[in-house]
Amino acid sequence: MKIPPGKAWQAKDGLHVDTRGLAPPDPMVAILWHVENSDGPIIAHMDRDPVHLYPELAERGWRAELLEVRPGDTCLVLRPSR
Amino acid sequence: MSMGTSFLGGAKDRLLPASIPFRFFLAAALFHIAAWAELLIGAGELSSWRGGPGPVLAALHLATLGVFAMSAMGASYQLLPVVTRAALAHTWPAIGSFWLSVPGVVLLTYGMSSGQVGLMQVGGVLSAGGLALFAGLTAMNLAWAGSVAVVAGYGWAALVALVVLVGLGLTLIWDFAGGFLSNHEALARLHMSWALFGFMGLLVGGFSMVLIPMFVLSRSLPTRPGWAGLALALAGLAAASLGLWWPALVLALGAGGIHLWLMHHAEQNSMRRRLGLSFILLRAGRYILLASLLLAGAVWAGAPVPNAPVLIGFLLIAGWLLTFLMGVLQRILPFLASMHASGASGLPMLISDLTAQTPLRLHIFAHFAAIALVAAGIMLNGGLLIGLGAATGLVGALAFAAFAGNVALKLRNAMRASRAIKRGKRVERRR
Repeated sequence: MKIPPGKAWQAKDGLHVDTRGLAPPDPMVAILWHVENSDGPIIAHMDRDPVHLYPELAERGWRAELLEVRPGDTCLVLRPSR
Repeated sequence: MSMGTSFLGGAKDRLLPASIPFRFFLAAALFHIAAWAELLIGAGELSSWRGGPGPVLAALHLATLGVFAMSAMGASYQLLPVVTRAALAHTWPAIGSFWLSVPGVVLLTYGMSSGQVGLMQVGGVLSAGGLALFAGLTAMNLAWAGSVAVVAGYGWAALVALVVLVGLGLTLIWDFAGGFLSNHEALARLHMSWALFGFMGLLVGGFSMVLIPMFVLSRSLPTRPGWAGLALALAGLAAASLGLWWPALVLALGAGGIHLWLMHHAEQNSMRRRLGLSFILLRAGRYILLASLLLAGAVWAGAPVPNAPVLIGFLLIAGWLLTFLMGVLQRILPFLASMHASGASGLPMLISDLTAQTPLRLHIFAHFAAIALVAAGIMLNGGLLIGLGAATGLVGALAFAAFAGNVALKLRNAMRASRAIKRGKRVERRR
């Protein structure tokens, strides 16, 4: 996959990835694509708690911290565990 | 609102208690053992079986109601709320459907095996009650599935098929007692068509649209071919119901072809480098479906295949659906356990740590050997060969149950450890 689904932009606090409005499993695929192609913090903007994403992140040695939850907008910061 | 949380954060609120899906999956693993054991008992009757009570009918329903329906219920309860973004309205119908279905399947299949129509009636009614609860709860959830309309379309069609097949099934059971049907065999064929291609086939088609891209990590699949596959499958079911078997076969081949193309498309665009053992089963299941349909066409065209109806039925049930479902269970059991388990570090357990490879390798070898041996036995009228195949399948089922039990035990231990840590933290805060 050359271009992941969703929108992405670089900001001072890290790479922002917006997957809101995408159909499953595109949000998970987009986040994991950026995880595999980045080493810094990723700020993920999602429709909801991405329960299916967590096992895949753990498998890649990454962890997630929930920053903000509003209806239709869940924001997480993702970092490598070590 | 801003908050720092542990790894799963508030996500756990959206998950059902792990005990709900896992009880269905573990029951499916046990019914899987029972199905092969029952086939071993009925090995001498299989190749000449043309319907009616006995161990073959019991083995068939242990596989369909015991393994397929149980797996479908567990997977639907756990995965649909996540896909549709709406939590299940209540959990009691899910638990109730389990406690109706398990004794229902046991009584129904024991009655079938021993020829006791009364037990079949009680078991049939209990199983129907469990499936009715499942249908009601799933319908409430599908009503919220606007973002995945094509998956919901398959889901609604599968629920309609479920109502038809349960109605036909109960009629067939009562006919064993009353003998009021003029053509029991034709209705049984219809019941099987709606069960395999209707309920299970449509659930497989719909769930695959989301599950397979999720497993392989590829983008969501195009929906137009998905809708076309659904339309062809429904037209095929309608044709089969009218006794138009040739058009039904052509339409089923069309629906199957689209399904195969979609799955191939997902795998071609996969981000995952190694798909693992489960994909051997998932791919084999698809190709056995196609081979079974082509074999049916060849037989209707006059190809001299001995005991063809039994052979095709066996290939569809054990070769297509059982193979596919074992592949799905092999993948989602560790995945769901990882979602539910919060270890001492606050990180979920790794999927790779939960996947015991040795029992899975034994299962996959035994599963394919069993299918080959039983299929050969059916064609050669070889009861001994069928018995050997069923015994091999039994070994594979035991290995699969060991894998599933290991995942469940690890999950239970991790959740206990997590609860103990939380209790310790609460005590510390009070001090």
